[in-house]
This record gives sequence, structure tokens and C-alpha cells, in this order.
Amino acid sequence: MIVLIKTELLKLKRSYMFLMCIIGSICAPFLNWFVFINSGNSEGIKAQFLEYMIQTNLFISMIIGILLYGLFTTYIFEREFTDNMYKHVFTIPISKSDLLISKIIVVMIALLILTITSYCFGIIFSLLGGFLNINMANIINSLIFYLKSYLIFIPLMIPIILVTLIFRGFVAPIAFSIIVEIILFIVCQSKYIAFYPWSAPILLGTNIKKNFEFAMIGNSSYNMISAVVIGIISFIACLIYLNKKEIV
Amino acid sequence: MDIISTNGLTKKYKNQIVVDNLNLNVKKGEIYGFLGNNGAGKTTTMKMLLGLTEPTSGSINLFGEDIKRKNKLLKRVGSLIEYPGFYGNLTAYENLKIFADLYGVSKPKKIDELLEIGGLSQYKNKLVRKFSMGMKQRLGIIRTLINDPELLILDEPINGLDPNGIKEIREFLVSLSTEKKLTIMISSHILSEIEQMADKIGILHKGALCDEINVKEFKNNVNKFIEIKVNNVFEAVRILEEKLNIYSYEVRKDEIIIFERINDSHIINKTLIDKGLKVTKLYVNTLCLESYFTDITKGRVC
Repeated sequence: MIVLIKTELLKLKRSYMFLMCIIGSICAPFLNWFVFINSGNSEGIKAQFLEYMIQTNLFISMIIGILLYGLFTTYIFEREFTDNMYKHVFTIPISKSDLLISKIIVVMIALLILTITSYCFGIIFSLLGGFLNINMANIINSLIFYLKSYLIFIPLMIPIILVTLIFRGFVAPIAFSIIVEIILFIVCQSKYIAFYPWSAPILLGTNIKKNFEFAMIGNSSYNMISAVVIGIISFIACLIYLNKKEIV
Repeated sequence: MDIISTNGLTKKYKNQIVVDNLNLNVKKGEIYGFLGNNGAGKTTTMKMLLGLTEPTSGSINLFGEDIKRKNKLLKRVGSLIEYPGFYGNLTAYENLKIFADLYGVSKPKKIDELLEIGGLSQYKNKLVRKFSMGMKQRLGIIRTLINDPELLILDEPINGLDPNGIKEIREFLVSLSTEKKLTIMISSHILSEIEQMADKIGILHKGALCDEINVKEFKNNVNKFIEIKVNNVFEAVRILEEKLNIYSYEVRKDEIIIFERINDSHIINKTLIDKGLKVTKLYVNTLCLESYFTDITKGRVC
């Protein structure tokens, strides 16, 4: 398994996609920084650091995350089709399950790097903007929010893997991500937010759930459980597909 | 010992039979050429041998063992199916390193040795996306050797190579077979190349094995013939029959094809000239594999 992970990481060397995703992950803190600087200037007061960090994470959880992380996840699996590699790799005596798991681990590592990049740039922009209350407690609190979103994003990436394996190419998984995103926008404004798995990063990684709780049907942990369940089901479906289907 | 042995190997996709009841036997150290038109079933057969595609029926034995235990057997096989795939953002060395790691190759110099063999040493740090088709093909072939295989399964490995590259690869594969006793199964559309390197050739047509040719025997017992072009075919035919007792011939347009007394071409030539005919062409020709292959795939129903 370690060898598989090492080789998967080697495949990312000089990868433009990863570089693009890193740049994409800086977008959220950068764009939010502009919003906070402008709003702060208009009201004549400095923005709060924690509020800025949580709003940035909301932006990531709601918009950037699904699309950017989804794009990277698709890339990890799709490039083997593009580079015509599956038929070479599958002639090596390695298990398809191990290959799938190693790729998911690489996705996890990459998503963590992207999350930490967003987080670090959030702090840098906060310092540049002179935001208020940049202290250790708030730095740790905001990190916890970011990590919670990150963790729940992992099972949510597995349905995208399944779509990539079945349909091959970037079109289907990107279309899937966009549909997920559109539904998320609709659901986020309704009382059914707890029932939609892709709203889990928002409810876990931000403090906005208190805005919903009074009107929300069900418990806020529902979507966390549904996100994990959908991840497990998709993982099993991926394993069955890889082992049954002749994908080369 | 048979390194590859298939029994009644069949592959169907929906109602289409792609490989039909194939019985193959490839011996140790043999270079087995696999010939067939596009869609004949060559690649599907090779994919089945490598466990990439499940047969609909029939069995496959590699090294005398059932392919169902494929993980153990695949360690002993090197393969190149269709065009070689690489990670374009990685160098030649890094691409080989990935496969070396996956096979668990511990010999540190192995990759350099292979790059040397493939004539790619000076390009080891060049990104593969900048490689020409021929260079990729060479890299693909040397990649098949990374695990020191006993059996090589190569599907169209000389596609995209220039004539010098084809010659080098041919000589290289022949040397692997003779020196290392490596068994090689190779498919190609370049029949003359297969003819030059293979010990045995299997001709696949519409999924069925039409014929298996032992190349040495084919070359020894091949049908030779004399082609003659003269200014008066009717007169020439009369002379052949009356003066030389030649009756095994065919007249094709203004040419005469003679199938007997092949070693007497000089006598035929002298006789025709002595009788006042103008001989503008006379040479001994042989039925090449290409013609034989064409005859089989066009004329014979398998």
C-alpha cells in the first residue's frame, strides 16, 4: 500500500492540475479578503479575524470545495484513462481495491494540502488586513472549523470517483458536481438542509447552523451521517465496478 | 513445456463472437507471431491472456498453471497492449520507476540498464510528453522487461517506429529469445517483420485460428514460381509446352507464371530467345507470407 501511495504521489510531480488547485484554494481567502476589507472600510471598523475565517470556510464548503476538490478527485482517476494507463497497471499483480484505496488516500492528502493552503492564506490575508482578534484561541478555533469541513468532504468525493469510473472523462463528474452545487444552493435556503449530504461541510465547518436550527427539520448530524453513508455506498459500488467490469 | 496454452478460448460481446474456440500452444523460448486483420481478435486474445478480459468460455494456462491464479503468474509476464501509455508529466526514468516500484524491483541499476538497452539513456530526464511516437514505443518495450519476465506479450510493438528502430527492436527481441530463452508472443501488421523474427505464426481471422505456420518449414517448402514477360504470349506458351514440356503455368494478362522447373529459368530464357521472342522480364519469385496471409484471410473461410 505504501508503494502504491508513493507511486500515486510521484504521478503528481509537475502536475499542472495540482498547481491550479492550489491557486484555486487561494481564491476563497483572497476574494473574501476583498469583501471584508471593503465592508470594513465602509463601516469604518476592522473586520473580525474569526468571522473572516469562518466566512471563507463557508465559501469553500459551499462553492469552491465541491467544484475544486471534485475536479482534483476526477483528475486522479480520469488521468489513468487519458494516459491509457489502466490496462498497463492492471497487468501488474496489484489488487484493484488497493489501487482504489491508495488513490483515495492521495485525494485525502491533496485535499488536506488545499485546505491548509486556504487556511494559511486566510491567516496571511487577515494579518495584511489588520483584522481584529488574531489570537491563538481564534487561530485554533478556525483551524478546527476548516478540518471538520475537510474531513466530511472526503466521503463526499467518493460518489464523484464512481461517476468518473463509470462515465470516464471530465464532463460527467463536473456536470455531477454542478448539479450537486445547484441543489445545495436550493437546499441551503430550506428547512431540509439537514437531509442533504453535501450541506454537511457547511453545517460542520461554519457556525451558521445556529441560523438554521430554529427552522431546520431533523438534527444537524443527519447530513453528517448521510454523507458518511453515501461515501461508504459509493466506495462499495466503486469496488464492485472495478472488480466486475472490464474497464480497459 | 507450453508457456501459453489455451483450450477452446472464446470471447463473446453480446451476440458477436470476437474470439472463437482458440487453441494455442506456445513453447518456451519461442517467438510466436500473431497475425490478423483489424478486428480479428488479436488484442482481445492478448487481453484474455493477461487477465484484463474474462473469457466467455475456455481455459488459459500460463507456465502450466490456470490463469485464475493470475497475480502469481503475472509477475512472470511483461506486456504491452496496443499503444503504450505513460504519464506525460514524468520523465522516462520516473515512468519506469513507477513500474519498478509496483513490481517490487529492488535492483537500483535496473532502470538505467533498460534505458541503455532501449537507446534512451540520454533522454532519461526528458518528459515523456516530449517524446516522439517511436521513442514512446521503445520505452514501452523496455518497460515490459522491468520485472525480468519469462514471457513477453507484445501487441503491435513496432507501430510508429522508423525502419532503423524496427530493425533494432527486431534484433533485440530475437536476442532476448535466443540468449535469455524468453518466450515472446507478438502481434503486428508488418508481416515481413513477423516473418523475420517469429518461429511460429498463427493467423487469426474473424476470431478463429486459421493456420499455424512453422516459419522455417514455410521458407523451405515455399511455393516458388517464374514470372516471364514476352512480346508474344501465345508463341511462348507453345514453345514452353512443345520444347520444354512445361504444362504447369498460368497466363496473367501479358505475363506467364510458371510453377515447375524453377531451377531451369536460364534454359527457359535461352529457349525463348533462340526462338526469336523478346523476353522483357524473367525472374524467380517466391510466395511471401504477405501473399499467403492475404490468400487465407480473403479466400478461405475459417
